[in-house]
Amino acid sequence: MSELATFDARSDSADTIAASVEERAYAIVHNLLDGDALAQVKAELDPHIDAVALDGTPFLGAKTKRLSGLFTKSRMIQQMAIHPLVLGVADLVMLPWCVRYQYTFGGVMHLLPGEGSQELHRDGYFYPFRHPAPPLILGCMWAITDFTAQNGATSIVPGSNTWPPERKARPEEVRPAVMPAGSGLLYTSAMIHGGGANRSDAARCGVNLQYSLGWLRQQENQTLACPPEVAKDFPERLQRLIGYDIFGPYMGFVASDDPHRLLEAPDPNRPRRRTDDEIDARHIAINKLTIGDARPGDNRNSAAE
Amino acid sequence: MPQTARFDARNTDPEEVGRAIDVHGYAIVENMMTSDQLVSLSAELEPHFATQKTGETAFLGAKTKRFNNLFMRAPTTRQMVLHPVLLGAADHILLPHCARYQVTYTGVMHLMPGEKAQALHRDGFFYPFRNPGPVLQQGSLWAVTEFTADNGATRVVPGSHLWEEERAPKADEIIAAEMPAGSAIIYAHNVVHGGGANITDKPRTAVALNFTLGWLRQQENQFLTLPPEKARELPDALQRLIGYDFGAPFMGAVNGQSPHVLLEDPSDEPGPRNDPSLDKAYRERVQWLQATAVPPPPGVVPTE
Repeated sequence: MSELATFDARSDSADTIAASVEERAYAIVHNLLDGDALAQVKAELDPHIDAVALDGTPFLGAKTKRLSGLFTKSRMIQQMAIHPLVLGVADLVMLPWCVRYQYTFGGVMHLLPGEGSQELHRDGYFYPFRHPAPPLILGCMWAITDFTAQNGATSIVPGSNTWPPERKARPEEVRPAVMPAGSGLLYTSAMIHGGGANRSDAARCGVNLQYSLGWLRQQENQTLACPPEVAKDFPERLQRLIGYDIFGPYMGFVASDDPHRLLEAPDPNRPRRRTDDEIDARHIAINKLTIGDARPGDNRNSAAE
Repeated sequence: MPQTARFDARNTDPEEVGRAIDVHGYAIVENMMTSDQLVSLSAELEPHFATQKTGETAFLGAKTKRFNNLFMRAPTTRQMVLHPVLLGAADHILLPHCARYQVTYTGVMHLMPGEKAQALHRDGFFYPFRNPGPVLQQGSLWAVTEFTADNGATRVVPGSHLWEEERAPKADEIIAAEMPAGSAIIYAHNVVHGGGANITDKPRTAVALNFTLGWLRQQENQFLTLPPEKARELPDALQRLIGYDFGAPFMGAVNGQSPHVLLEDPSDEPGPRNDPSLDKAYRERVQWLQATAVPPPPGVVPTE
């Protein structure tokens, strides 16, 4: 069985990693977080994880603790969401398809011992595009603990990005995305995957941070989760990424202006901005889509792992 | 098949209006507002005409005053946007492609004397879809003053919602959406249209109330415009219509729950993670789309 496509954040470029994501719909990247960063994110998340009640549906998992609204829970996750290498890959994978991409969803997926495997699926079920489709979502599953074949490493189906939509994975086509803590699994909405079963005696903790094309609605409403009084303390790159920005000509404004102005000192002399030359130029340069109806109710499953 | 694109709100079936939009790309519906509503709406808008700026780009118009956030600035629009004919038409033209639609834009277009005609266009051009294709948005322009060919009545190209992307209308294919005050033109985003020129000595005032598919980004961010402390003032149906609800299975959640929880009294019970009826609608009714990429013209290179 061939090796999974694995890279090292200390030596591989965004171009190399993006080429893998475009060809295979995934890349495993080691050493995105060092030991100090890992210790910080664990310390920030642990009290929240302890407080989570188990209430999942079968798809969300009976023994999986899930958390969202992560930017108010962890400063390190604010930094992870704007990691330069991850955004470098996102630029290459997503900017051919939108003027700006956005942060759409963040979730802790903390699998307790005894959790069964999750149903295999593609992400982005709530955007009604039949596969193959443009990369609507790029996710990065950050390994906070080691991901092993025993503890519920995400199950991935390499090559499924080129399959017809009806094709199901056979057991031998499903591989555990094994990676040490501090790594990330980058993957697009084209790849079939699911949470693995945790047959170990310790929890498996992952933080899934996802980006989507800027003209789509966010899965997790970030401007409600992080209203201006909360978002004003975030790095500007993150503020813009979560929605305090213009996402295309005349799209995403507030009070006829760039929503980022809500986070800035008022300046009555500054002209309103609902678009600008750069946004207009990028709009012309992105791929356009010719859309036809496929059929109602493709039956893929939902939510995110 | 409806032959006419003109209706009277007092005695029309909203579904019939939707079917007319299928055919013509638009429908004009008279008597959408009562005279009392017209009076209150005009009074609510009037103070803003003095203070609001004209458009900052050629497309927005040098002699057109535009402003948004109408549910706060002009509370009569809270009733207008829930008009059964408007919602019935939207059910017909938008629900084939989403589980739930949402408000995407509220705005005034106040054309002052001397304003020139706006470039003809399709709405929703920031969604990178080529025509023909599914209807992504329902626009509605409400005549606060009467709309005449001389004062800048919206120019419309009937049937152009079905045209190929590049086809340009000839002069004799363009009509003026003339209608008395209190009427509205309801249209599919992809019918070619634009503001007319105002060659009279009085302004022409329109209110736009636009819906988009529930899985697309809003043009005017309703959540920042109407954060929870303001949205609590609105009727429940309008709260949900501006986005305080799931827009598709699991979509639009806050802390893993329906965003409507933010508008409700605090409770120890967790809010819903999803809405099973929405799941069912999404599975059984919503058309899935097959997308084919059309690269940008040669020589145009994306930059960041």
